[in-house]
Amino acid sequence: MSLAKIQEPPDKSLILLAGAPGAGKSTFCHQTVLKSIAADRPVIFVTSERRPTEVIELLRERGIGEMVGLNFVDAFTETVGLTCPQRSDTVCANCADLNSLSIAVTRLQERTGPKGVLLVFDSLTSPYLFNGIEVVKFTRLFLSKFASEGNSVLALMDEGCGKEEDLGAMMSIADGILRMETKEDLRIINVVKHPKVAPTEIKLPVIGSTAVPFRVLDTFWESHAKYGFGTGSKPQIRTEMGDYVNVFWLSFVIWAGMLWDPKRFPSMLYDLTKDTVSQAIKLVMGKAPWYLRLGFKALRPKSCSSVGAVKRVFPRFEKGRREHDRDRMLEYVSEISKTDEHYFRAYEGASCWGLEGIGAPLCFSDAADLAGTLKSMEK
Amino acid sequence: MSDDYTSTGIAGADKILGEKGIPRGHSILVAGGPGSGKTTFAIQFLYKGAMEYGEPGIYISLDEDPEDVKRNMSKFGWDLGKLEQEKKLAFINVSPVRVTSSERVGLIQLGMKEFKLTKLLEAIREGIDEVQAKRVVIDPITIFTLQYPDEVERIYAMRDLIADFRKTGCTNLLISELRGTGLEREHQFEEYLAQGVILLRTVAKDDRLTRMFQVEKMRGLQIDNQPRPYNITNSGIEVYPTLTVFK
Repeated sequence: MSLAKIQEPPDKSLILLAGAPGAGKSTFCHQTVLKSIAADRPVIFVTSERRPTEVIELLRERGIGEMVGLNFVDAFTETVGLTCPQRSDTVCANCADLNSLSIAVTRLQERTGPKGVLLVFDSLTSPYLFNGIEVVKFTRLFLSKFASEGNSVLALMDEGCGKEEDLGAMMSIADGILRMETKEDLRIINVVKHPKVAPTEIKLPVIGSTAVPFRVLDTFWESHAKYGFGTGSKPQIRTEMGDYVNVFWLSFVIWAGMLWDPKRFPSMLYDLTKDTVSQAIKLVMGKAPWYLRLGFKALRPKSCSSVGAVKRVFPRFEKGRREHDRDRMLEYVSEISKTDEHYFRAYEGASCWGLEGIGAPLCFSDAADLAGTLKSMEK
Repeated sequence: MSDDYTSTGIAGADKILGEKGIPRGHSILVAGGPGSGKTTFAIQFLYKGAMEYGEPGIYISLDEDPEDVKRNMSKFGWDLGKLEQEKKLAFINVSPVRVTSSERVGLIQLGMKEFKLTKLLEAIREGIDEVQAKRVVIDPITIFTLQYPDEVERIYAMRDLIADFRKTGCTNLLISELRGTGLEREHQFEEYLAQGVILLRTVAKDDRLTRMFQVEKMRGLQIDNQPRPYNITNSGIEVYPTLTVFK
């Protein structure tokens, strides 16, 4: 796919990413950084719009693990008139002084080596606002030169923040030009010019980061534990905050697996549930009082194959509980279940909904999911 | 590095000097505005010479108290006192302004009145013998030239000083104030007399200073005479020979 390709800027190229504020340039650039780190390619990240710690936070949300190979030029702190803190992976610079920017990058090259580095400049707008047309010279004499020495540069520039001809001049220097815009609910990346990709237009739906629902899930389990043990007084899902939607979103993401590989889907779902429920049990039990942990240990069966065992581990249904716990609207039908053959009754809810008059509920908590849950309940 | 040249000890500067350094025995004028790092440049030249290239040096102060210089330079991690004890470095205070004739600091005493070329040369020769110096710094030469109100006399004194240095075989830096700020300035007569000229310039833009290192002249060398950015870092002066200066 060309999106993946344009997020791996080739060596010896300067790619200019232009777009109006909010078009998704920074997100694009964070994804490019993640790919580079994953490929063991060192990154020098010049950040002029926010502090390096904030960039790290955003990268974490997008799933970065280790920060190995990621170096920062903090062009934010000093530019806004604050004192730059000392950090081993960061060199400070001031957007008002283009020399300080080129010097900072050169100093970081002692750590990354002279070649094969991805230099990300987010963004050139601040230096442009301070230095005007001199930034065009900077692009030519520093960024373009840096790229030609065997590195790649991804530089961001806001459209509509300066003279059109200055942006035009910068584009004429760049080896690649990407223009981003948002139209209705689509992000459009217009590949105007690229050393490796033919001119094209990539349309992406505007979606939040996929990392967010998982973070919400953690919060969900934690509040679940609090409520369940009577240590928290408020309902665990804050519908007004959108938690409910995020739980729905999770089930939706999981169902998307059906389209990817329908044959393997049940076993994938089984594995996924086994892992997440095991983790959730660890999380919940970690917060539980000692007597509950002891009780849970005693209750936990060696195997869930008998009817008795499933009956023990599967929560009883109460009217009040259903109101807020929309994830567990399932009932174990013990009367007709046998060893290694279990029956459940599903009710409509957030993760399980049907079509009126037809039945056939689309259940997030389907057989594979239940099998995974039961498996993870075993000792 | 060939025997005919010696390293400046300034990171990045030798690259600008055709990867060679300064021709041995030459007198180099280092001119810069206030706060441009002239003394740091000079001390770094001497310190690296003594530490890394086995070339002892002497620092002749015509203005600042050497003790102050030593204290100020310790922030770069340079232990000058130790080098002085090891006889790899000598500090000579010949300040006509700050030393009265009754005082005796360092090797020589000089009062305002006696301060002339002969005395300065005497101090230099004594210092060179003391540590077998290969490098000499006079900081600042401006004070010396001020002793000669007559311009012709001044030029002759300067020429004699440089000629005398040539005889000693020591590579020397003559530190000078740069008259005129920014890019427009008049050439100073010392620039014509010295065999090399290094400018440490600062250009103010808004309330920030842009530092520019420029080798204006270096006899006998193919040099890069473009201004290049430099910085005063925790470990001394760093010149960035591949970068362009942005204004």
